[in-house]
Amino acid sequence: MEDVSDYDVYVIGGGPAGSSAAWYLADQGINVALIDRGKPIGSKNVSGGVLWGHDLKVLDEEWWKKAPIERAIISKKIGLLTEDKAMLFDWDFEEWGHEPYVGFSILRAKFDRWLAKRAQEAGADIYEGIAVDKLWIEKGEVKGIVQAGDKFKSKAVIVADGANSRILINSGLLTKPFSQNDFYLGIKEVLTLPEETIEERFGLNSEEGTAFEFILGGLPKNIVAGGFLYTNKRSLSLGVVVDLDTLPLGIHSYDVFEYYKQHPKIKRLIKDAKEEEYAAHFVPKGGLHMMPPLFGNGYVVVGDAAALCFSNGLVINGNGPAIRSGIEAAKVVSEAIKIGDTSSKFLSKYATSLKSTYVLENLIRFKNVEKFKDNPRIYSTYTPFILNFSEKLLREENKPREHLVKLLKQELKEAGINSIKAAIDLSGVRYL
Amino acid sequence: MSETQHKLFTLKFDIKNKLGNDTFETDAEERAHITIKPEICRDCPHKKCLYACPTRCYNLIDGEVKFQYEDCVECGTCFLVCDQGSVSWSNPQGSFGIKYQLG
Repeated sequence: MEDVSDYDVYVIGGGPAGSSAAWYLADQGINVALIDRGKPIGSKNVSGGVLWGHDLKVLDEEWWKKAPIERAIISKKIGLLTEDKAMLFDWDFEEWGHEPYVGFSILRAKFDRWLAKRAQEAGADIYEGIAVDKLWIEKGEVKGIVQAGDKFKSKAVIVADGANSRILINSGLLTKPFSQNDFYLGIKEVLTLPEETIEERFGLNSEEGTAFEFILGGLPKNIVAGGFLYTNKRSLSLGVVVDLDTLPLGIHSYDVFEYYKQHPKIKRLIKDAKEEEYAAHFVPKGGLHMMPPLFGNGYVVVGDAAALCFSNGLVINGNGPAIRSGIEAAKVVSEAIKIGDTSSKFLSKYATSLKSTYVLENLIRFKNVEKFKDNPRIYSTYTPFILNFSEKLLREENKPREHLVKLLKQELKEAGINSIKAAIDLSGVRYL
Repeated sequence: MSETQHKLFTLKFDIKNKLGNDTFETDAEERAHITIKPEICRDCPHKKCLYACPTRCYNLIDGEVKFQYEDCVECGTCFLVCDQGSVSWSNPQGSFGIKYQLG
């Protein structure tokens, strides 16, 4: 009976990575089960809210016409906020509003349920509300999964259980234990507003959406945090990401969110919106330093579980790399099942193929980006400085004015900024 | 302006008021998916869990750290900020716990 297995492949986790993998495998005629601890599937899942790119095209050429997307992102806004000031770069790109589109706002509980359903329609079996304990490992080889103490055999397992993967932790498959330095804590609220109000307030036509990202500067105790706001069809996704490592004692993580929400700039944007749902989730900082082994005998790791998400402060993308890594893993696993070789050596083809995609290439190319992005002085010193300086530059009081450079020098001196240190910090831009 | 006057310190905000908007399926048998070891917490020099948890599941009651699992959204924060080895973390059984309608 040892060789009998119900499934060729177990996919653990019904997020974008896991469901894409299951969908691809089912399309290939592989006997696959997709297991999620949420019931309905996807109900544990959260993200800021934009799906960039078209990695799903491999599975369905016109996926966005069928998927529960909210709005097509046509504009992007990146800004700085301090306690009483705000500054915003605001881009509109008309071509983003037409096919092939570059990104869509999504609400993950809805979107992920749809994606899992597509996997099911392709032939995958879905198990909802089932928490897998860990991988079944014998002599360094993954034989299947362990659930509620029982073993279930398979030829391969795809680990897709997201950020801070319990499966990898419980199976002892991390290179080093995760630390609070590896993640941001994302705190998010969905706020409902009528469709017409959203379009009027944000200057959008029907179906069009916008994406805001802010540096939260000048927070006490050098807290490193950012804020976001995305428009959905009839709601806004508002949230912060907080570098847990920098969260001081005495300040609650949700206070940072509430502070952001009460910022005068944000307050105007969310006026009259009704609180609908509060969520918190880890966001991996991503990158090579926290990446677990991507494959081993009988298993591969995809999506956030493998820290395959990317951010350089200008673009943030976790959903895209999740889908792409799920598909790349499924391609290799499907081939492995067909030829009957799920050894580590064969499955290493997954890592090789990821390197040829943007998913791993970006993480390699931007391996030092944190030196700039997470430099606390950007948040504590330079952001307030830029806002204070520009306020003085723009204020007209019918008095003699200073030249820009003189004013800049004065203000730098007043803010106590060491210009050599500032120049070194600024040179970190090369990591972007 | 002194740092302690920052608005972050003056927020009188109770996260618990918000959690009523969320959907939870609570384990009737009250099997907590997270447990802590009070004797370790007692000597913890920072008790960061009290501040980091985004749903305030950790509270100081009569000087002791108490954990209540009912409002937990399973983010994993406490597991990572606890460097004293007090927090045992597992996923809730079956489909219990947070159930996001929007996500």
